[in-house]
Amino acid sequence: MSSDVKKEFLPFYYSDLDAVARHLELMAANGWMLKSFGNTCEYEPCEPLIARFNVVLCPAKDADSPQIKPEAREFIELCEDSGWQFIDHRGPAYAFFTADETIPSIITDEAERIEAVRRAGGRSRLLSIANIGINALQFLLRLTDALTEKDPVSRGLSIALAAFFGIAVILLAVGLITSLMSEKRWVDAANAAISAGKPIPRSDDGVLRRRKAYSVTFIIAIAAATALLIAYAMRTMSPEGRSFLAAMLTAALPLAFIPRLFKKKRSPAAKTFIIIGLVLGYLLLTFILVLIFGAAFGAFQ
Amino acid sequence: MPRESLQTLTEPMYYVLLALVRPLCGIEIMERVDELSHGRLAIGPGTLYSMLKKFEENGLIAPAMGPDSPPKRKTYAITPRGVGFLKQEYERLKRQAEDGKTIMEELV
Repeated sequence: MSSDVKKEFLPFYYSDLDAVARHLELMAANGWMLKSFGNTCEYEPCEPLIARFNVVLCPAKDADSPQIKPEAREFIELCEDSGWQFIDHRGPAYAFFTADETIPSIITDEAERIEAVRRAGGRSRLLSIANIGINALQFLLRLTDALTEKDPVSRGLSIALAAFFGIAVILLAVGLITSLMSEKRWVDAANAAISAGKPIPRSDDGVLRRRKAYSVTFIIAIAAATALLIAYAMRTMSPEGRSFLAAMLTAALPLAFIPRLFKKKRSPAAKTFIIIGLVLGYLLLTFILVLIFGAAFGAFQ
Repeated sequence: MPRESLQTLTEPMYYVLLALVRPLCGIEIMERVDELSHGRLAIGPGTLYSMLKKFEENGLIAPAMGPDSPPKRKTYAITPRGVGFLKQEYERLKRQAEDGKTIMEELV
């Protein structure tokens, strides 16, 4: 990683986009220009710049695809023709900037802005509900195992797994409810402002700090629960079981880089090769690590 | 019918349809709206994009070839259905202005 690149974890809700834009303007004024807009933002050094940023929800179909689809490309070209420079996007949130004070904002229809937030928020919540459902199902399955399992070691593992998934469900549900309440508050305030003939109120300056605090707490809680689960499993499992578990977890670490492989535009054939390569690579790496950990734990004797 | 799905035309929508009486691409539409409204109305490119998609879905505009449009930029023009809709809207606005004329003259 170049030492000239600054990274920042910047979580936000779709109703916070004006706060995100203001944050990017502050970064640019302090000599850091947004370079990429993933889950972690990357900035590169620049001359301190008074720039306007617009972070908007792209109305094009498939706007949240990692690769820019033709309709989203049309949207970007329209914005660029009018003087806005596209930087990057995170899901449906597209970041633009301009040094021109005179050109209109990208979205000038406040009602459309509210509708875009509701649509994007709704899609995001469907994914969250699906995620909660999967974790809840895992919780119930593990709980059933725990209640029916006769072997104390297996029962203990099932209880630990059930606890893990239970914690995940609670944290995800709290996140979902928080985002729902936050969006409803914003939509109500925005609609009231429009009815009164006023502009939509700005998000308060502390909103991004709050989002980061919740996200970091969530990550720490999940990491802690995962660590406890793994520690418990390693303590109670047989040497063979420990070897497999350690191998599977270690082999999964490189999977964190998968999203980067799909960010560039690739042909369907290339994507297929990459996926097959990843699966085979994971299996091969797991096999090799099982042997290594097996030797370390004295398994398979 | 377009009115049921579009409901009432907003002022920017009206001016965009007026602008598309001749084929124009996105940036040309924004410039034409600025010209027609004498600088009073500014439409953001994102808002214009949504508007054009809505008009196209409702058959009021269609992709077209403009003689002077920049290459590789999608150009639109109003359809006969869109012309009919625009005329209805124009008549509605005229009637509204006429209905209020007597009252406004009394107020002055």
